[in-house]
Amino acid sequence: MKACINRDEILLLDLYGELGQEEKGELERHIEQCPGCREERQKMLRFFTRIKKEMPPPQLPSEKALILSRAIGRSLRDEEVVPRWWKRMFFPYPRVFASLAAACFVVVLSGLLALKWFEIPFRDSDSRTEVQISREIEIIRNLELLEDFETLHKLVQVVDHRSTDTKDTDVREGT
Amino acid sequence: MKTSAEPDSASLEDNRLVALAQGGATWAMEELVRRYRSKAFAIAYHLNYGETQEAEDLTQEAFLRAFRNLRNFKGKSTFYTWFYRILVNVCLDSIRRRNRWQRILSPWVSWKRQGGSNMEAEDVEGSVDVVREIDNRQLSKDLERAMKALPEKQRAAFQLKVLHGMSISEIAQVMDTAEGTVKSHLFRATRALRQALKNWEE
Repeated sequence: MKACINRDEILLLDLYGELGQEEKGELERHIEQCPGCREERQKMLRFFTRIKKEMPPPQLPSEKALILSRAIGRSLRDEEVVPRWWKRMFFPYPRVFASLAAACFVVVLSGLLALKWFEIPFRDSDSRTEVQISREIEIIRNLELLEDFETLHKLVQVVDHRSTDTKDTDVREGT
Repeated sequence: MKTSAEPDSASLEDNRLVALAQGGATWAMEELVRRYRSKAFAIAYHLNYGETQEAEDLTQEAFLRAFRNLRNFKGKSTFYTWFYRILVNVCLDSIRRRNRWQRILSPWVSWKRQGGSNMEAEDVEGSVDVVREIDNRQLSKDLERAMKALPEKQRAAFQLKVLHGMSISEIAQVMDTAEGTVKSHLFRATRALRQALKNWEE
């Protein structure tokens, strides 16, 4: 036999010990007449008993309890040694700092990975530019050299011209 | 050894101890720890699926957090509901953190669980009443699985009610929610657990 649908929550509250005197009395009167609800309450009771049996409260052994108390006391004393204002000033928002550090790490890591992935084309274009620049420098140097040569050539010509002039003068003077 | 300024701490009420602790009396804090450590450990233990070491660490963390923020305690609720609220929050935060990591490391965790279950099966072989032992262990496992499947707030409300005997109004204060919401959590959790464990209903 099934329990009354509208009594479901009341039955549960009764088992949880949350019903007032009046509601409890009313439920008891109902249960006397309703075998379905009676059975349902017994089932729920068995269910809760079983759960409590399967999940008993753990015992904290006395030595562990002592260790726990001492650890709490020690931590509190340590916190007194390092004043709170100091911590607040230098580590006001540890989570924010941690998040920022993590974000920076991710950015740097993704940057490095991106560089790694695009390494070949970057290098390629870089080396091409470098070759081009070095060629241009070479050309400029050559041009400078040519200019130097030209200057030298002119200088030689001037010197040659002078020496011929001197010879001609000497000849004319009969020396 | 007690000092002359230190009265018989066990006879003092929570409010008095809290006031003294707010003034910096270390012995008052120690007395509060002594009063609530067992119950706090039990709650942390159940909320953390029976992990003893984790429960100890979380209990310690909850006490430390409570004492650090003791100045903010205005006495609007009792000390223990205020403290249990901190404890439940610490436990739920820890579970969320762990779940996040478990999702990341799920293949390794499932492999580890398989190894664990084999070991348990071997242990059982030596027991006298093998069938009953296996039955009990199976029920425990089913119960654990069903508990884990519950949403965390429903599970917390259910455990605080059924395993730790808190009233609905206390749970509402601890979970910082309305009593109606707690009732709803309790009904849903009970229904889901009964559904999951219906094979075990006699």
